[in-house]
Parts: sequence; C-alpha cells; structure tokens
Amino acid sequence: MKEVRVVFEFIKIRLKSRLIFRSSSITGFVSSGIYAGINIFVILRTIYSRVDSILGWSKGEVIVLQGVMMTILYLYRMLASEGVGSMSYFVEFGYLDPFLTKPVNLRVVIPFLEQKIEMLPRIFVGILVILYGLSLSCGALGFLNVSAFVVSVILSFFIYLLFNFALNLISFWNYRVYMLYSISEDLVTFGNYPVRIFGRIINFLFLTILPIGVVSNLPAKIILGKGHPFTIVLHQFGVLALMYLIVHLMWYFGLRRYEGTGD
Amino acid sequence: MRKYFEFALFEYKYALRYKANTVFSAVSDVLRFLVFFFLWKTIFALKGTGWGYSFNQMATYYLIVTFLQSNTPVCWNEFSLFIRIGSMVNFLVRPLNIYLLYYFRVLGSKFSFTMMSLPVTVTIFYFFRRFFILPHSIPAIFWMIFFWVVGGFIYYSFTYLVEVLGFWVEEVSGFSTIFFLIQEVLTGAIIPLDILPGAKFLELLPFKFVAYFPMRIYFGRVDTETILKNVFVLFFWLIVMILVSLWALREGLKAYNAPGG
Repeated sequence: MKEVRVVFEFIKIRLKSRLIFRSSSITGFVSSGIYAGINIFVILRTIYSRVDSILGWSKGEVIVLQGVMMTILYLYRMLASEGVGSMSYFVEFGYLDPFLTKPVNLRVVIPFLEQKIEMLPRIFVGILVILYGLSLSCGALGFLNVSAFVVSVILSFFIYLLFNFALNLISFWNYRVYMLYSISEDLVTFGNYPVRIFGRIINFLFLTILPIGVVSNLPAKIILGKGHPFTIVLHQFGVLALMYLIVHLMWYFGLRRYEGTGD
Repeated sequence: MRKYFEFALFEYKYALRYKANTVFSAVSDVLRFLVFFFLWKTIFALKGTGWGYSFNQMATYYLIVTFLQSNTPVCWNEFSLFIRIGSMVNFLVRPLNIYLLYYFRVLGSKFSFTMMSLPVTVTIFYFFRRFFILPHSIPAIFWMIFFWVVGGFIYYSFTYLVEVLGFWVEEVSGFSTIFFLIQEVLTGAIIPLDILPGAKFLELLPFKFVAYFPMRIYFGRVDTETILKNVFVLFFWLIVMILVSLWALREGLKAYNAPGG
C-alpha cells in the first residue's frame, strides 16, 4: 500500500506544478480534435464511401474503436508516459541510484513519477469520439456493457502502461533507444482498426504479446456488444499478467546490468 | 556554401553514433506502411475497383511514400528550444544564415538516417516485391526525384516557419503537432489526393510535391505538359517560401531578447 500512497503524493505534486501549461492544453485539445477529424472525416469517410463494413465493423463501430484507442492513449500520456519514458534517461545518467535506496517497489513508482494534467482535455476528445461512434452504430447500451467497458478500459490502460514500460526497460541493454517511443506510437495506428484485418499472425501478436488489439479492440467490442464481456475481461487479465511477468523479468535481469554510471 | 556542407558533414557523423535509434526509427516507418498495406488489402478484397488504383499500385504508393516522407527534411524543434533558452545567440553571432544552416544540418542527419536504415528499407522492399510496380520510365524517376527534392525544401520551409514562431510564443510544440497532422493529409501520405473529396483544392497547395505528385509521375499519370506547368508552380512556391522564411526571421529577431544563457 505504501507504493500507492507514494504514487498519489507524486500525482498531487505534479498536478499542481503542471497547471501552468494552460496554452499547451488548448493546442493539445485542438491537435487531438484534428487527429480525430482526420481519422473520421478523411480516412474513414473515404473508405466507407465505397464499402459498408470492414470485416463486420461499420463506420460507427470503427469510430468507437478509435475513440477507445485515443482515450487510453491520452490517459496513459497524462498519467504515466513521462515516468515510463524517463527510464532510458535514468539508466544513461545513473539517476536510478537514489531510487534504488528507497524501500518501495520501483516498478510501481517509476511509471507514475510525473503527470501531465494538460492532457486531460484530450481525454474528453476521445470520449466524444466514442459517443459520436455510438450514435452512428445502433448498439443498445446496457448496465452490464457499460460497467464491463469501464473495467476493460482500466485494464487496457495498465496493459498499455506495462507494455510501454517493458519497451523502455530495453534501456538497461541499450539506453539510446528514444525511437522506441515512436514505435509504440505507431502501434497505436494499428489499434485504430479491427485487428482482424492484419492477418492471422499479426492478429495473434496484437491479442497477446504486442497487446495493441487487447487495448483498443476488446473494450470497443464490449461496448458494442460484439462479444461476451466476461470472456473479454478474462482475456485482458491474462494479458495483464503476461505483461507484468515480462516487466518483472526485464527489471530483474536489467538491474544486474545497471552500473549506475553518471553523476 | 562550404561552411554549410561542413555542418552537414558534422551532423552526418554525429547521427551515425545512434545506430540502434535509427534502426528503430526505420522500423517505425515500416509499421506505418504495414497499417495502410493491410487496411487497403482488406478493402480491395471487399471492393476491388472504383478507387482509381489497383491494389499493387496502392501498395507501391504507400511503400515509396513512406520512404519519401521519412527522408524529407524537417526543421528540428531544437530551433524553437534554442530561441527559448537563448542558445540561438551562438548561431546568430556567426556569419551564417540560420535558415540555410538548419537545412544543411537536417540534410546531413537525414542522409545518415537513409544510409543506416538501408537494410530495413531493402528488406521491406524485398518482402513486398510481388506487389511492387516499377516506375513508368527513366525520365519519370528523374522528374519524381526533382519534384521531391525541391518540394522537400519548400516543406522544410514550412516546418522552419512553425519553429520561427518561437520568437513570439513560448511553446511551439503544439503548433508543430497540428502542422504535422495536417500535412499528412495535404501531402497525400495518408490517402492519395485524387481519392479524397476536395482534391482539386489540395492540388493547388505545394505539399503535394513531397509525396502525391512524385508518385503520380512514378506511375506515368502525368503528361509532359502538366509536369512543365508544375515546374513553374513549384518554383513559384519555392520563391514565396524563401522570401517568407527570410522575412519571418528578420521580424523574429526584432522581437528576440535572447533570454537565458
């Protein structure tokens, strides 16, 4: 529990200090609106002007999918991307040392070292996109769907966080890997579409070890009534456990290589 | 010009240090290509005609456009950062034109990226060779590269103008993100412009010269008369962008008080 207390303390301090970035919030809101607009009114509009559905996904349903991906991505960027992204920096300059002396589980604390409150308006854009998509698709919303969807989104957030953390832990072996961030961002583009379009092998990868399909497709399936909520949430728990195991092993073996060079 | 080439050479050597990073960057480009490849593969399986392109043309389009896009010069956000923290002074006190200086620095770095990412590029071209369509003719390759290189300078000027905003506003990263999102549509990197609604208007803008227009030449869809007409359009935009860029720098320097170190 002490890790949770530490994390909440960090969040409180960071929220106060980041309130100065108001203009960044506005441009961020605009840019996420443009991103959504391009996806919906350029790409999907062009495609769906000639086809009715892509592998059983209508335009409205794909919009929901994209809204889910946006929401989780921005949630991650707001709460954990700074902390997760600082791993290579910590390793390169030996800044991990002061943390290692503290009696806390660093795998829990490091991802939440910094928060970017200015990302909050972008999350609203994601939610608006979900609502817009739902208004286009005719799915009926029940209490079970909505509550399972919320649980599924939370699980997706932690899966995405652990996946990114695992990518950043590669810095124990090679710390000049800033472009890993870009790879993770590009995987998000895959999450904007039904994973079935990517063929059997990639589909399998995206639903397991490269969990971008788990992150976006599964919560969308729940809210759209495209699968049994219990089975989907169970699947997500399985992937979450897998991601945690990967992070745990990488941390364990990575720390053995860590030399604490730098300051 | 020699001093600018010296800077380009320095950046080329400097970028060579980060081999793993470059490979990851190239992989990132490949991922982008794969998304569009599979998306269009599925769509063509559902509706194979009516797009104005065959599936192989579409695959070739994204394959080459991905390569062109990742090698098009972009002014670094270091520019606005240096304005903000005062380090720009180090360049301003030297007999250098920072508009050209950054262009050559970026070119050096990009060339290094092209060289180091070559194995990834060759591999991806090899894997997708059965979808790949060869260029229409030898002159088509020449014209394609010509438009891309000159168009690339115009594109660089746009990104430079975004960074120059740093003279007036504290944080330009938001503007830069907005620009990069919009340019993906305007260049035709996301979808070929002639498929998009409102294509006629988009074809008036210079962004088409870094992706869409070179690809039309590649496929032999542009006659000589249109190419020559577009050479004039290209140089018109080139002159406009050079003049605007130099003017913006002059005005920016008037507002600049070099805060920091």
